[in-house]
Amino acid sequence: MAYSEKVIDHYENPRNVGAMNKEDGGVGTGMVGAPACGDVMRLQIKVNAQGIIEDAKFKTYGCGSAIASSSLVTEWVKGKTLDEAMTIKNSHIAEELELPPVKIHCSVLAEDAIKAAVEDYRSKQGAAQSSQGGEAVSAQVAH
Amino acid sequence: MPNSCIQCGAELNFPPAFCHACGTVQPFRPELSLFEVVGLPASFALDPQTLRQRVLDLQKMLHPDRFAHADGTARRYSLEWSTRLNEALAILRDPLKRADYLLQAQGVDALGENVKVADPALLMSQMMYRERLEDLVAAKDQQGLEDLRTEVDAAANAAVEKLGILLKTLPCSQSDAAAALLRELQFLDKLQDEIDRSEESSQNL
Repeated sequence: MAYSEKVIDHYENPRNVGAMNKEDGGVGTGMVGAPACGDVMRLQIKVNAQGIIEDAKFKTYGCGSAIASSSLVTEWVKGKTLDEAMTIKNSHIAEELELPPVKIHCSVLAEDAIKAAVEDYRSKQGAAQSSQGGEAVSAQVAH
Repeated sequence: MPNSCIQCGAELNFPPAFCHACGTVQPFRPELSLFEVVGLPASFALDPQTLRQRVLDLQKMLHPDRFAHADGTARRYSLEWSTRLNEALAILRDPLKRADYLLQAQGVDALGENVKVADPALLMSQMMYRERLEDLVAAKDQQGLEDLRTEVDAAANAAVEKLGILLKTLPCSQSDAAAALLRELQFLDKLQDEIDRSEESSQNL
């Protein structure tokens, strides 16, 4: 099976590889895995006080398509609001990377990872707010 | 259900590839489970040696040389049985595939392409194994790789043992727990492959 040029580009020059401190209240971490191919994916976002994703990092152990899908998503989410990030669909990723049908599940994994990261961030904010009696600054976008 | 020999009419025993009375190869039966094809009871606690011997014995009887002068139908039957036996050996000798086969038989798809894992503890441990592997490869730490392999093997053996308990009585009543173990085992299996590949490539440096 041949990879598209875009997949190869992301695979050879992955963007935003790395890790953030997941204990940081401004960081959301999403971890997902696909047992069928043994892939593990971690995607992290750093959200500023305006609720904008200002940085994103990923680490993926898996095939080229899984790496490319997560690399692409970190590029896409930077500068987006959390709600905008939640609208990313695996079909957009698959289309952009020209993934063949057998690799669609890799893009699904990347969609799940970004959603999990946003949810993690939101639950942290919710926990911080309730522990401070609801007076905490909200970095959340209305949803 | 063709339960008697097409040649002599004797009742067929398991495995039913041959008539035990007259030795005639029987029509292939695609509906039989892999366990039925090899003539062993469906169970997770299967002895790989017994399985291997069973398949070898049957394959000897199905060898194409024996059917060189047989008619086309008998040749086709023997080929069909033989192909299915190879499949049975490949799946049933591997604890991961055997457990998956048993769970699938009761409608549980633990490892399908669309199955996703969100268990944070499992994902975290897999991520840590992978990061450690990456560091060891970068440091060309051969001993470290071997230690990691030993550790992962122990984790895989522990998962197989736990699966053995859950799959002791079939159908498995705790299929969610068994499916979770199977997924863990699948991750460990892929990790073992990856460690082996890393060891090979570092030895070739």
